[in-house]
Amino acid sequence: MPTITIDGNQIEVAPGTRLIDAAQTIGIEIPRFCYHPGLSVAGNCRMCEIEIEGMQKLEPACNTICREGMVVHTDTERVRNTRAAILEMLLIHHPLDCPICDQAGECKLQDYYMRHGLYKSRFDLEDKLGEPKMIDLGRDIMLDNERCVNCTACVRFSAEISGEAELGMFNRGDNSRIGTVDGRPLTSRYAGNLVEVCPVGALTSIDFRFRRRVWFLSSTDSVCDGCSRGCAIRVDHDLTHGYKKGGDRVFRFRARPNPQVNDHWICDAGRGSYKRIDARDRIHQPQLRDGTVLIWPEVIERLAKALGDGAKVDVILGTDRSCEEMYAVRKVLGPHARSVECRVPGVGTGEGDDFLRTGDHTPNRRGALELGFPAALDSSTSEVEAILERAAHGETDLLLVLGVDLVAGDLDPEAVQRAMAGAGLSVYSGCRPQGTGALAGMLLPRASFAEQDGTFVNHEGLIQRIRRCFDPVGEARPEWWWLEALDRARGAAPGATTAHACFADLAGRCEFFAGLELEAIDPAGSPGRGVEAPCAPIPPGRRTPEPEEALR
Amino acid sequence: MSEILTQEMITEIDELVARYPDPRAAALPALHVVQREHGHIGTEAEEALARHLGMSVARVHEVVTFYSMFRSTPAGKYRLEVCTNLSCTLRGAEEVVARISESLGIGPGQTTPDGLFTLSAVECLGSCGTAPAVQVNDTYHEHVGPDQAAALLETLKGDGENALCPSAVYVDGIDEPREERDWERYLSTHWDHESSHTLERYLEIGGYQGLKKALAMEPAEVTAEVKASNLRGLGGAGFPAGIKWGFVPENSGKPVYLAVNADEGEPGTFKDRMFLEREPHRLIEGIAICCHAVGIAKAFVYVRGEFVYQIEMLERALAEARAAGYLGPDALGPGRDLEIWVHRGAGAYICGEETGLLNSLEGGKGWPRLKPPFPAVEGLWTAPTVINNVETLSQLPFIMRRGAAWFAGLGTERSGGNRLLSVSGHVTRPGIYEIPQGGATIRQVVEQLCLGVAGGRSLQAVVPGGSSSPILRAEECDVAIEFDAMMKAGTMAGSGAVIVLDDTVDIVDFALRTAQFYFHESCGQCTPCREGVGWITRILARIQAGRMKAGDLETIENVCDNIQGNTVCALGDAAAMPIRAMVQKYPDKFRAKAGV
Repeated sequence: MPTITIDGNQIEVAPGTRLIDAAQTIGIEIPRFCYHPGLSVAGNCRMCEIEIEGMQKLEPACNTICREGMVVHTDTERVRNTRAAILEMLLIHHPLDCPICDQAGECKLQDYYMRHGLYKSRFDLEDKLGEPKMIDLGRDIMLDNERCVNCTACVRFSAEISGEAELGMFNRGDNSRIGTVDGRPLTSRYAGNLVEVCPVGALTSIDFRFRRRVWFLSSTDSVCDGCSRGCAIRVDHDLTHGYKKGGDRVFRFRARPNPQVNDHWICDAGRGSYKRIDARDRIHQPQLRDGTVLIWPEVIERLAKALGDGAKVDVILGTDRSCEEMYAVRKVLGPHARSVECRVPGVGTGEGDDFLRTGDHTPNRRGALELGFPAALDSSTSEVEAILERAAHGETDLLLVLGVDLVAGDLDPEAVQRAMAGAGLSVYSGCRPQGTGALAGMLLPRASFAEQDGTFVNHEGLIQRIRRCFDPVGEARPEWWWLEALDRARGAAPGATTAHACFADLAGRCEFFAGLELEAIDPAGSPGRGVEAPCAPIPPGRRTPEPEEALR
Repeated sequence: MSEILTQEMITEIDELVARYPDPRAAALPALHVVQREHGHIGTEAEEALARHLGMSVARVHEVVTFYSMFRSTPAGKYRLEVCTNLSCTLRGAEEVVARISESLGIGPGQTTPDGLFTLSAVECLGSCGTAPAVQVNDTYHEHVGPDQAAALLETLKGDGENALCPSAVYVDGIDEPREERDWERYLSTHWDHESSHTLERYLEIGGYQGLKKALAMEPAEVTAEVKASNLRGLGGAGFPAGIKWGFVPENSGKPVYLAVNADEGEPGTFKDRMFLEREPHRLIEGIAICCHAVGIAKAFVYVRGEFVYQIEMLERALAEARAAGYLGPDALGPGRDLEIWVHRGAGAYICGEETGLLNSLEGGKGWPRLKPPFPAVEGLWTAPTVINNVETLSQLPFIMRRGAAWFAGLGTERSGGNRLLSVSGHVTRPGIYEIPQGGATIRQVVEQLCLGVAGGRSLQAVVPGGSSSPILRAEECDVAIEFDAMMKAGTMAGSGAVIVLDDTVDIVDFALRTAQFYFHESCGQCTPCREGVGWITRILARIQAGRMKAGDLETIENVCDNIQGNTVCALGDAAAMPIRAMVQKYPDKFRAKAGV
């Protein structure tokens, strides 16, 4: 473990640590354009040059491995002058279009100029060269050559991470240009990361362009609910501009580094899934099929009534629910339901790839398994068909469908319709009505994963937090909220009224979560009990609990 | 398979591919094949080749657009490439361009309507001792003044005579054998024979005896001998060759490669090509000695793409050496094979930088690599790699045969042996001059060896070691040509290229021309070089046009300071040093432009 001194601070670092990363750990940000911890080191921008005692020249901190006894100065006059010089050179042909550039506010060039530049330009405006702007590269990526600082991060991402190697830096010297061959469209399903690796406004998201100034955005850490990988994300939202009039709150998802799961990247499908949160068809209030709006006490009353002694209850549960919601189903409905079924063919599955995206497009199937729900992917239709069959024949008093759009899968839509019509009370709870909701007797608004605290368990058994970024729309609630209320209404002891309490309750009763508290979950996720780090899919031979043994 | 890659082309390309541990390394030679067959390299060809070599089309397109010699669009039947770099410009290249333009009615970059001629002004062709030089397709034409250019056009329009041929450059000691020197010459002594390039002749003059002697020694002994000889790298850096070899780790578990730098691109330099033309076996023998010493079984000779004749001569010699068993299985002893392959560049000065050369050899753009790791530890295909210049390696047979003590005794305390100077510009007799390290001052070279400044004019300045070396004023020319002495004088011995400027030269114009060269050749990787050299060039152009502004000279110096030492490779330094020197040494010449 080498010990080094940076600006008078002595620190011990792991062998092989790069100086630029070592400085970061003690809060010293050495400015950089080309360096990205997830990519190979290019060392071409020269912005991170620092002084090392005993070395004649300034050295790039990105390509310097910490050595025992190294004494480093990151804020000498020589270093400051060099930074200003590099900025001056990068800016000689850079356009003066910050006021219309979407990167403004999170642009390294802009930030560094304020921090390390602030010189009066010596370059003649008449010598400034123009470059092509607004080149649509496809896959939501807009290229602006004029703003490019030639750091090659995008080229390296395309070659080293997503693998298509479809971006290049063509020509030579001052003529060097980032682009695709003949401007052909990008094919990468991970292209959105290009925007994130670009330190300036050369690669921006067409979707995000001109929609919101980044300084209006707040950011909340969360986990993507697009598939069972559970990539760490940042939810960028703004509640100050117009959302009360029906405007958007969420403007983008960005990748949040998590070496255990997604390194620095997320897929485009996940990135684009933010739009579901502010979808125009979100359910805002509980309502009946005829459009009658209910208030929650009325809902609880009706459900309690339907759940009367001896009532025949079937539940179909989506594996996109939080652990807390699933636990509440297990706790409140489990003792009464004839069956709780998660295996709905054709729903929640799709194409995966060999990088991040899995074929299970729900975020919490592993959580369902650990909570004792039969939630395997390779299921036959028989269980769900039996439930629908019973309901269609009037043999069901209460059919609860929690977030599974039955008609979107492989089931016979007419069988679904007959079941929803035939049950004593058919309830659909979800963020959006979708096809099944439209058939239900009662429609309940659910808080999306960005509107509730809780947990998901990814396919490798990592327990990760989702966070309430803002209040749910209208009267939407997490499902555990009304399930607990229902339990109370039926005379149970007062249960959890917060997600934290919900999780504590769950952790106390389910072995997999034992010993954890919501606040104690690591930002990079905490492996469930019995999961060996590094996390892996359920090892062969390890069995998840049967329904009756899931809870203590 | 599409028509773009015919079966014959694929066969040829696959033979190239077999030379390298990674098929992608064949990108440059394969693109030469494609261009030879199709006249240019279109996107479809890029795609076909990318598929064939297992690389992405973006990587191939990067290569095609990076190198000056690759064309994305068709050119005329005869490509007239007039060198307008420093030495040729000093000798009137601009008038050559003007005459051709006038005669054909096209400007540089244009093709005649009949498709016969494409004219371009190009950077240094390495024919500075016979300036002005014009390359027509693969063939060099020397001493092409405006009248010769006009005659050349007529020939091409007529019978089209344009065969490859050796250089007629003056070689001291051969072309005027009666002129005595105070020192022994050995490097170029045998170049006068008409068959000096053949194995037969080479054996007659004791060829491959040095290798024989080396093979009888332990590899470590050979390295020790080279260290003791004080042989220094003659590509320009002057790094001691034996010490460089010593950096190769033993038992890395990987093969060790030798990359021979024959990219001779430093403006003013034209000596390495002479080894290839006149005595390629000397180089092959030197390579074999190095490979024995370091434990290398595969060497690649990276020759600049314009040197087609030289490549042909080297290939011939390699075939002879192979047939005679100097190459191939067990060439260096039982179980110790040796193979040497020629790798043709495609027009990029930066590939003379050793790690740019490595990337180019691996089939990519010639972007220099970050160091560490150094090539001796991680070079070609991440394996340890020795990189030596042609002239450096060609010294080895002599060191082996005559001993380190003899070699060291020729030069100074720290620089052994003789070296070849390439002298160009305004001297009476430009050419190749062999001198011992430190054996002559610049003034002696100009006045005695080269018979003084041409046309009886007076000496204004000398660029003593290639275009990147800081200029010396006439009164500063009493410095011995040797690495350490030149460094002490604030300049560099570099590649031994001496460019002489008489009193008519407009220094501002010369500075601009120098800057334009580095601007053209900057690879584009590092901010300071890519942006800074362009900035300087634009200021110089403005000054030259009479639009100098207050503070311009200070800005140039300051930008030079900010470039130097702040880049991955030394090209930034190479651009900054000469320009700063010109501004500092001739400020009045620059200021005088303000009044123009």
